[in-house]
Amino acid sequence: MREHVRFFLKMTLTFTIAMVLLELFLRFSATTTPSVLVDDDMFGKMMKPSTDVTFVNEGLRIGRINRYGYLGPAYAPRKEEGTVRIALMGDSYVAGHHLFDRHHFRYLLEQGLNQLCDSHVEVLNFGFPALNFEQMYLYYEVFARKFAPDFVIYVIGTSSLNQPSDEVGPRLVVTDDSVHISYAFRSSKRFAISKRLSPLKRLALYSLLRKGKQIYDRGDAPKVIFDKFFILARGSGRSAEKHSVPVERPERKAINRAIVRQLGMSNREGGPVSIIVTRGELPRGFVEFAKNNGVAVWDPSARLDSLARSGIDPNWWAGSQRKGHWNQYAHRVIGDFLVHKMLPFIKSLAKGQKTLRDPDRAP
Amino acid sequence: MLFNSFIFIIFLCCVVPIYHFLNRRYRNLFLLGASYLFYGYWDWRFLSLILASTLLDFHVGRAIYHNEDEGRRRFLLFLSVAGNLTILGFFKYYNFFADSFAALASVFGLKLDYAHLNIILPVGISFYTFQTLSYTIDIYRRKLEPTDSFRDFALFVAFFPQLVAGPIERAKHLLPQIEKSPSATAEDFREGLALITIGLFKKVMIGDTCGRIVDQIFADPKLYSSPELMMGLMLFAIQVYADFSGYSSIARGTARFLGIHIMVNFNQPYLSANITELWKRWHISLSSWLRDYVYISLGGNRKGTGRTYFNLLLTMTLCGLWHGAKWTFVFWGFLQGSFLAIHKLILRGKKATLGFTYAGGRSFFVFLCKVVWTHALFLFGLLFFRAQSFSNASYILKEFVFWKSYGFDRQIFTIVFTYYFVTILIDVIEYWTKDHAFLLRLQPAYRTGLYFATLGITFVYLFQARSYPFVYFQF
Repeated sequence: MREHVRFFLKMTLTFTIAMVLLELFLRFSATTTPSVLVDDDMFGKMMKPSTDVTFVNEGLRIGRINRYGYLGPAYAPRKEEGTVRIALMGDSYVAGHHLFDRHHFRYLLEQGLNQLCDSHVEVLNFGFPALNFEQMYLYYEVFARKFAPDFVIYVIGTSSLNQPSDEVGPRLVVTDDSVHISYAFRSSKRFAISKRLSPLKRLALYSLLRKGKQIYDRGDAPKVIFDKFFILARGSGRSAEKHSVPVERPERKAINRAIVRQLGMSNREGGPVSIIVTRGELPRGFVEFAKNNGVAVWDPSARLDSLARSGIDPNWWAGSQRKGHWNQYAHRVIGDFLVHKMLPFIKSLAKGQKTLRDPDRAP
Repeated sequence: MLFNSFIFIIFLCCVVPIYHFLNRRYRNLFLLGASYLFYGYWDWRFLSLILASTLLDFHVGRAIYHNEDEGRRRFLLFLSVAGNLTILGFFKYYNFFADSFAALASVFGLKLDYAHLNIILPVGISFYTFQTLSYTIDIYRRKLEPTDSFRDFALFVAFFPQLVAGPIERAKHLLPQIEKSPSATAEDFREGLALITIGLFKKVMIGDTCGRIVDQIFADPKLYSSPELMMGLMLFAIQVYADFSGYSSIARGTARFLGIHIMVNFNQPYLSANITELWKRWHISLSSWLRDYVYISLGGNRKGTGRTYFNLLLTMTLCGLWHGAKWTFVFWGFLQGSFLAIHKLILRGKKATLGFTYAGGRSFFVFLCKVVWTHALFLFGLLFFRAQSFSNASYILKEFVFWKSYGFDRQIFTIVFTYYFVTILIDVIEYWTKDHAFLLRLQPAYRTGLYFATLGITFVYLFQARSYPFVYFQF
């Protein structure tokens, strides 16, 4: 009996030491990046300031979350006199955890505008993976607004309009013509558990296990384990995907429209100018609604299509041999597209036209 | 079927017990079926090639052995060599030579209309072709007696642990073991498990994870700065070694589960103090094959100094061509041959030092400097091995000369250092203990804890990451 206990103790000790060493290996070799998010009472989760990040997914990114808790260069909340600021709001397409900042359209937009106009332009990347339109708006309200942007660009796709919001985070409550933010999540059980688990979340091992769990939850485990046998058993007779017309889910429509109304109001009242940039086709009704409310909707898809016609798939990642987010070449096209779209506004802002009521009127 | 996949683990868990339950008479037949299933899992059509090669060499081998007429024996050998090389040449090199010939013709203003074929390269064709070739050549050289059992010979060719990426076994070593249909002992199982654990860790946690970064960088080098390119190259050195030596360890471990010992393919090559030593420790089964069947056949060092260097260069250039149907591989082989020739020249007939014996701090420092220098030479060669084209390789070299960084050098250094540290640490332990299954030296309790942790994390990673094929499968 004593022998067995001793065996078990020795085994546990070695197991623990090995796990610690493996944690160090995973972390330093960037095999798995520990979560870069920390719990936050305002937004549920925020990026941890001053954190080095290395992501190897469809692409490669080595970078840093700046000391203010967003991506790219650390521009302080208080901006210099004469500086024009553009805030980029969006999901993983804007966060760009798959490419270096110097290949991101944020950098290219900033460089392009600074070269072409007299004003000093700063572009701040508030991209945050997996946000929907509501969360992007809330992220702006609770965090990005502090940085006093002159322009706010929302990069959205149909999924941003339809995806439900994370339970652990603020919600936008629409009542008749007004909206307000509810922070009910602070008293939720999930937020409390999330806070309690926060030391664990800083482990690379936890990240690794969580990714595995996500695959299991998606129901992909049999496919991973049984490989071709699973495909054989299930049959490969999947019908080809048809191009479907994007639609807005009824349950998300009220929220999305309320946000657009708020953005339009801000545009009309001389607040920061909000612009929507599409990543993929948006529901036609939504686009019309935005335009009618004075929110410009810019669509770079023609540029991306021409890139595709030149033989470069904007979503193809040669390094990982898969399709995904915009690649470096697509970012170049988007950067160039935005430079030319934004240039007239920056110039008119420099001439003293403080309010820009309808950005769509730009040449 | 990839070793680093769950389906292989399931396959192994079925094959090993059934093999041991079966009567010895049926074991090889069962193993042959399992090997064909393993190989056919990629594409069942490839089985026809392996069968063709097996049939050819089985019958030619017997005919050579039973024939006394030297001319006829030579003709039969030619038949075997030509048959195998035709299969290999067509599937692996047809487009390479056709494209190169068309490019050459275009220099002289000729436009050649030839058919560029969309040929799928059968997995492991270079490995089993060389293995069967060695069988007939050894019979021709009267170093081996042919087997009378087609089943055993077919298993020798298709033995699944080493079928797709070696080690390129010799009939003299593997066939007698196959003929005995041995049972694995408890020691075999222990050693097999240790080898598989270390091999899987090397392959999945080191090789594959390095590969994810390397592939990004080499897919489009022009997007990256000098430190990032250097990281790509250094991590490729780790990837290719961890991947291939990991594969070899898993192959050896798997074979041990069936009671069969297959040869060591890697012996801590990155701890070599000179390039000659490195090639004695790197892909040993291929190096020794080339030595025995190409270098010696060309005359080796028996035909004068000049011819020795020529033979060395030619053998290594062919080694490059064996690795892939691209001029960058040929150049890589030529480069390795040149390094070996220069080292031979420096040695002036003396034997190259192999291994390290501690004789004070200074000796260790000198050894360390030599190891670093040898590795730097090897890295230089690997640039051509991995680059998609000469223009990419020259671009990368230019970036190394005109160093330009965009920051994040500390993060890059940390990643590279971690991979080197872990890989070299495993090598140093192996070097020190002279044992690839060094985990067996630990007490069972400690060993079990280590197995749980290492295999557990490896499987979790394997579950959530895409299985990377072995780098050497493409060869």
